[in-house]
Amino acid sequence: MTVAPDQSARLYDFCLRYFTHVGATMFSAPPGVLCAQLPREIDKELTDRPFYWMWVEAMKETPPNTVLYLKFQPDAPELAVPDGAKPELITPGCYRFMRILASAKSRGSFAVGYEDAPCVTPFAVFSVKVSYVCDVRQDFLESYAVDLRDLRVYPDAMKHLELRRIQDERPKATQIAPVPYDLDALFTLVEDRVKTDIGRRDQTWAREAERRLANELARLDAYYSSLEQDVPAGRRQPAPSPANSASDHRTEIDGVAGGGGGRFGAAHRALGGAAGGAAVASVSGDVASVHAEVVDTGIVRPSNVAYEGPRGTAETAGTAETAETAREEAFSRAAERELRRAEILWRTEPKIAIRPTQFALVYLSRPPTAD
Amino acid sequence: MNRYENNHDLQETLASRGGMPAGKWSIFRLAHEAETDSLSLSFDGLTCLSQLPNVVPFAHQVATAVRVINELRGRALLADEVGLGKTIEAGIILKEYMVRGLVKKALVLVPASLVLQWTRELNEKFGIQAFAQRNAWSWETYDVLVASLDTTKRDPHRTAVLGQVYDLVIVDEAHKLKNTRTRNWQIVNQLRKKYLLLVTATPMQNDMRELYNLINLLRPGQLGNSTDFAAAHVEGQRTAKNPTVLRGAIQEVMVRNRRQDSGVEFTERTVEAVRLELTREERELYDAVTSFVREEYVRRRESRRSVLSLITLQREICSSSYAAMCTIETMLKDRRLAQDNRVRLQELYHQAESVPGYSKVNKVTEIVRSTPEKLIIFTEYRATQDFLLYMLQQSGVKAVLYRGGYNRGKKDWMKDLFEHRAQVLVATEAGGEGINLQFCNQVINYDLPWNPMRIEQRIGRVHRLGQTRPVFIHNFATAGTIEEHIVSLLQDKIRMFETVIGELDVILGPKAFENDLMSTFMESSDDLEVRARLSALSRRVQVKDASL
Repeated sequence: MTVAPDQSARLYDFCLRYFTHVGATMFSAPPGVLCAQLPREIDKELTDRPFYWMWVEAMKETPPNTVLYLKFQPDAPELAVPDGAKPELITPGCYRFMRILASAKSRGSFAVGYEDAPCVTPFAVFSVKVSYVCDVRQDFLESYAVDLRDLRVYPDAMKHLELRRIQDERPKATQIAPVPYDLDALFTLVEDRVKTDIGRRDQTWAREAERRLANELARLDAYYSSLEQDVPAGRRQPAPSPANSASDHRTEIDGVAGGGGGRFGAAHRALGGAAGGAAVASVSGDVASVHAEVVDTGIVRPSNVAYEGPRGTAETAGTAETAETAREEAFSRAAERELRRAEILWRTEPKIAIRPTQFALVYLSRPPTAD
Repeated sequence: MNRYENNHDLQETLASRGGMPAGKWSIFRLAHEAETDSLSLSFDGLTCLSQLPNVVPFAHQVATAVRVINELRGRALLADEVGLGKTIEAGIILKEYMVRGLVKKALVLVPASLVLQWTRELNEKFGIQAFAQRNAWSWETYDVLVASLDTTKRDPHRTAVLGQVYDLVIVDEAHKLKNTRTRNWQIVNQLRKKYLLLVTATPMQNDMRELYNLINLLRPGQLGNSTDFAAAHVEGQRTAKNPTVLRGAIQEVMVRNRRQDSGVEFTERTVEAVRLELTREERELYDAVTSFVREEYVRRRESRRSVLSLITLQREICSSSYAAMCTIETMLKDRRLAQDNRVRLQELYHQAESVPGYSKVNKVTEIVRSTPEKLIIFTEYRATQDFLLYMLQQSGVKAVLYRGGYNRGKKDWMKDLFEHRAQVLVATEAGGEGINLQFCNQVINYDLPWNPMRIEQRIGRVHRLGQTRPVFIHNFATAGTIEEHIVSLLQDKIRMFETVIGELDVILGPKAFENDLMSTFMESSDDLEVRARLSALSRRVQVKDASL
């Protein structure tokens, strides 16, 4: 296991600043090692023990604060630490570091800052994560500052603010000019500006995704239409028309992970899915019950097969195809088609997610621009 | 026209705090850095590799992950040959999607024996917090869940799992989804999923429809409907009409790395045929059973009746008389059995019972005693397995069993016992599916399967990535029996043990192979004819393999 030296130095630097900023007690440690005693609320964020804290609080216990002993290189020198804390190797993506990142993100969502200058005026600073999402994804982190006096928007704010001396406390000798602001209007203003900026960028990715989507849907439609032709006319089920189902799904799609749930309801219920039995029954009770049977009929392996020989032959179903099951197959095929269509849309349709991640009120002597 | 999705979480949180953005600028900057660090900076490439200090992936694994994500768009059949690390590929893909924020909820469906192994690997190697499914609540509770396919397809789990929406579903040993009428196939078909990875080294075992069914789960219509597919691609049950066109279509959903092309250096494989002489009693029993099978085979063929039990009996008598006794017993229970056959079978049963010594067992004991190394003994039959364990224990050798019927915990326990306590593992390859036993480098094939894919599955348990020592394979072959021919055919003629069969499995299904072997043995009048027909069979296999 190795961690590149520059990478481990970056992680060390980040963790050191994090612990310092959240008020952890730092123990002396050689380079490449951090040893910090965590305040209670930070402890809760960095360690996953909800039941422990529930118990501590219910019993009004006062256990000693946790000491984290973090190593940034596998061969870092050993350290005698209080409370027998065990060394943990910090690597990018490791559990502890991900918790530290998450804690930093959540604690740093909002801020007020003051430039060290005699006369300052307020700016609203936004960090906005823009994601191009289809079956792959690309992110950008944009930052904007809005001058609250004239609502002028300045892009790349964080890049310029990095170069300014901004502090947490208001300098005593600084005069500030308070300006009233409307939060909703500010968010709308920034979102509109983000969209304008995106509009100027290359959108080849979206066109390519649209093309892939059209191909996938065309293939799917061709496939299921060809199956329709195999089913006698009287048994056919109406297939969802591409235009309708596409527009239906569009209202529900969420581009990011875990967000595809809503759109599946109808398709999945019809396919005999969970929680769908009752709903299907209300539409067509007997069909639903037959369908449930078809789905549930697994393969019965001959019980007299006494050896673990080739299994292939056992897995051929011997069920005769009755008219009832044929109708049932056609029924579930329509539902299956709808489900596959929903999945393709969920996966491939190009979307742009705009998520403001941070907001700060910063008092500056002049706008955050290069000059 | 761009489609936007606005997220208002920050605005709502701020409103809930009375519009006051209280907080320190210094932490704000740190959070900005953290946000910048978590970005997926480009559509292409793998961003997760820097986050996997516990995995050093091979070039073919990285290339596979890139291809699956960027070209196959997350719905793919990972069909690398055994031992090339398909699990690592699937893990990299899962991790990459998670790092990019495209996957949050994932389900990994595996055989029961591999649940803990997968859970452990995802946690330890990939830093993914994966949990093994334990009860009906697990489905909702955990984001990344590893579950047994057999459990998942049964209620109440089936209902629960179908109520979930998965960003990614991975199915290991996906050849279990080859039949659309099985619950296995149906549950995977019904799952709501964005991405789907099917992992198997043997995407096609018996006929081309199996491959079609797997691909239809990934992309329905990729190979047309079943009628079109049969018309365009299927010549015989296992023969492709136009392999080049078919391969082109399959490659849009399948990745198959072969050992020889992967650039991975595997340790040396030494194969030895262990020739044995049967004792007089064993020889008499073998001849009696073979002559019964031969006569009955011809008779059943003429009356178009099933010869399955005969094939089984013929193979079992090569394995052990104990295994053959079980099948004879089953055959005797058949009420339709003719009286003369019943008498003959009873005689065979008694003859098997009275065999005093076992040449194969003696050889096993000899090999085991001659080495301090750990050994895996593979057999096709449970009866032989029980018998072997008993005989080994009688000789004072510490041995454990491993078979398909064991539950997850017991399999883990047995593997653990073998690693730390016992010298010998007596396994059926069906039970050993997917387990990694690189700490062992000796394999005894007590009997050989007549199915080429299963041979590689056996050897793949030890001869895989992570094996650091040369691997020794001992194939038992009793002189003057069918087994001798089988060993010579697989080992010397097709050289199945040295060069891993690659596309052979796509062209020549194992069932055809098995049937060809059986008719060769049963229909040949003498040994010379058997040899001639086997040579023809091996030439046919080699010509087909070369033509690819």
